[in-house]
Amino acid sequence: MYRLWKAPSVPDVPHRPHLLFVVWGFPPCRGSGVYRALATANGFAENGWDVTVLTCEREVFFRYTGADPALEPLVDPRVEVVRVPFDWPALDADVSHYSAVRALAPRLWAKARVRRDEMPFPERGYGPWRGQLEQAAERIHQERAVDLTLYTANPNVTGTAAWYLHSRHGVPYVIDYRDAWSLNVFTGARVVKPGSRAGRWERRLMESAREAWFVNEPLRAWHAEVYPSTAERMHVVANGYDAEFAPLPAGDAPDPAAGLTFGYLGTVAGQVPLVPFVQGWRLARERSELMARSRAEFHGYLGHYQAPNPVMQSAIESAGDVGISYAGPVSKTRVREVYARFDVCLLVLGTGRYVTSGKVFEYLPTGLPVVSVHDPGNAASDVLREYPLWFPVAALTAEAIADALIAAAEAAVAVSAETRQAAVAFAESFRRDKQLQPRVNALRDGLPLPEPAVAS
Amino acid sequence: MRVCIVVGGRRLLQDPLLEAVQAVRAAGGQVSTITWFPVSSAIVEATAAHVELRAVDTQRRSKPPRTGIRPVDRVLRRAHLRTRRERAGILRRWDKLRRKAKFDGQAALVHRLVSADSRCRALLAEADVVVAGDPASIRAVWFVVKRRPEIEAVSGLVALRTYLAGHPA
Repeated sequence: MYRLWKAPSVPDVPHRPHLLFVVWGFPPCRGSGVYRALATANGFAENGWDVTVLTCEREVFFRYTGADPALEPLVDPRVEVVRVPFDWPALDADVSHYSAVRALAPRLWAKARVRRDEMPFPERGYGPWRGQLEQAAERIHQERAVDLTLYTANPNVTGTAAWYLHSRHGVPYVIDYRDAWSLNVFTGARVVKPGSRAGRWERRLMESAREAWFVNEPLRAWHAEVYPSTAERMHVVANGYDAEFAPLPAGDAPDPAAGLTFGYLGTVAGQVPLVPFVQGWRLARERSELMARSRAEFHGYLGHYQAPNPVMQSAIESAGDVGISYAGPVSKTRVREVYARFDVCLLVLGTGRYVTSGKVFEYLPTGLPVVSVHDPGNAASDVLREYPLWFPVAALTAEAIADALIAAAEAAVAVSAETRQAAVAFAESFRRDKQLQPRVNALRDGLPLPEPAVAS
Repeated sequence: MRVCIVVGGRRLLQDPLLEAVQAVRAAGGQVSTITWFPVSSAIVEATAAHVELRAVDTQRRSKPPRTGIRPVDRVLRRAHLRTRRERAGILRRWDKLRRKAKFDGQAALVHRLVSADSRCRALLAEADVVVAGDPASIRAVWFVVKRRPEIEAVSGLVALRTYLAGHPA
């Protein structure tokens, strides 16, 4: 049972349910999951919900992960953002903040830090945030009763605020799994033992959830098998693309004499097969004259932190002689401008049948050929299977990658207007609002009606 | 802006260090380096000053070993042996404790050498920003920043890039 929201005494004012959205990566965070969080908060606000976002302080993103301040004005003005402090000592690079133990015995300090982190909640780095979240959730609920909590994982510690309100005040909650906790989405291995503290927390959160959302069907199916009692409440809410920032459909076919621009836009994660891609690219340039005139541009962050990962950066820069370059991070507001440079989109992803990524959806409305340089079993393949200009690699070998690149280049210069239109039309069903809307409606319908207003 | 980069580890990646040095110069700063191993000529040319700690260590080790007066008397000789045994036992126990506590021997050595060498002390004294380029140099940099709280001290070459981005010339 959960507390009903007290309707205002003015009878004409419609009931606006109150959503508490608990998320770590919220604007100005530049992380890949931030667009989903932003769209979720805005989506609920547009559908008549009063949304309170509980997140961490802005400075965290400027200091540690990198920030995109251009995202902040995109938050719906009706959304109230509550920021609570978040400490990340392990990533603190200022030596003057270091304790004597950290300076004199750094490995001992690191070991002790991990243990300390996992004391309040079994999640390294994020565990100590639990206290802040629970206190803030209580304060928000006291100020105005929360009707529904939605939390996005990872980090999974955000679930503690939802659990707190559920156990103390009976507030239902929804889990939004844009990643997995127990499952390594790249290897498919189980990383959290069912009987461990983390395993018990996940079971508890999963079993009491009103709904659990997943970004693709393989992830949903895996969790449905592990938590059969929640299976019928599990739904796929794919990432989709944001129509307002989506790249505009490409125009005419490019001039082959000038060569083509192959482009990648997004965060390059550590699992991205950069080395096989570079080998395949070199081979393709040897085999095809069109490819020899072409170039590949990587836009976005290299790794998950603010400074580019030096290993990735050197892997890309070592291929400067064959036209591969790194162009640095791109603000969400400049995405259209960057896509306008591309003739072919590169979807270079880590291996894993549970991996979709957000950029696959963003590539679709361009109507450009998409070269998939990832394991054919990736969940991203399911999204692209019907796309008319999809060029997947048969395997992650230099030969297969070269074949796919050449085929995509040839298609890019020979594409007809009809094929382009078909590609753009295919993208329409993957708009983010179309993915989210059915769940927002279902949740709204599932809430109890407000108490009738008392006549004065 | 004067930047001093300390890299005390026994494994030195020349390219990231060279990139860091070039980044500081591009930001209008002056760089000096203190490293364990010799660095490439490109780094030496790009820096205002360079000190190689291994060479400092070798110089120290080349001094003749200390000799003491050995006891000749039988009783004193026995006492001396007992003292040596006990001292060895204490050192064994200390080593065990140190390993358990995961104290970093290289970091201690780097700190000792940096503190003892006048050229290193001079470079650190005139720096506005001190960078611990690897874990082995954190201890040395930490002691510097404890003595001179007014200077900036960052850990890692990646953090140096972030610092430079936040402090344009």
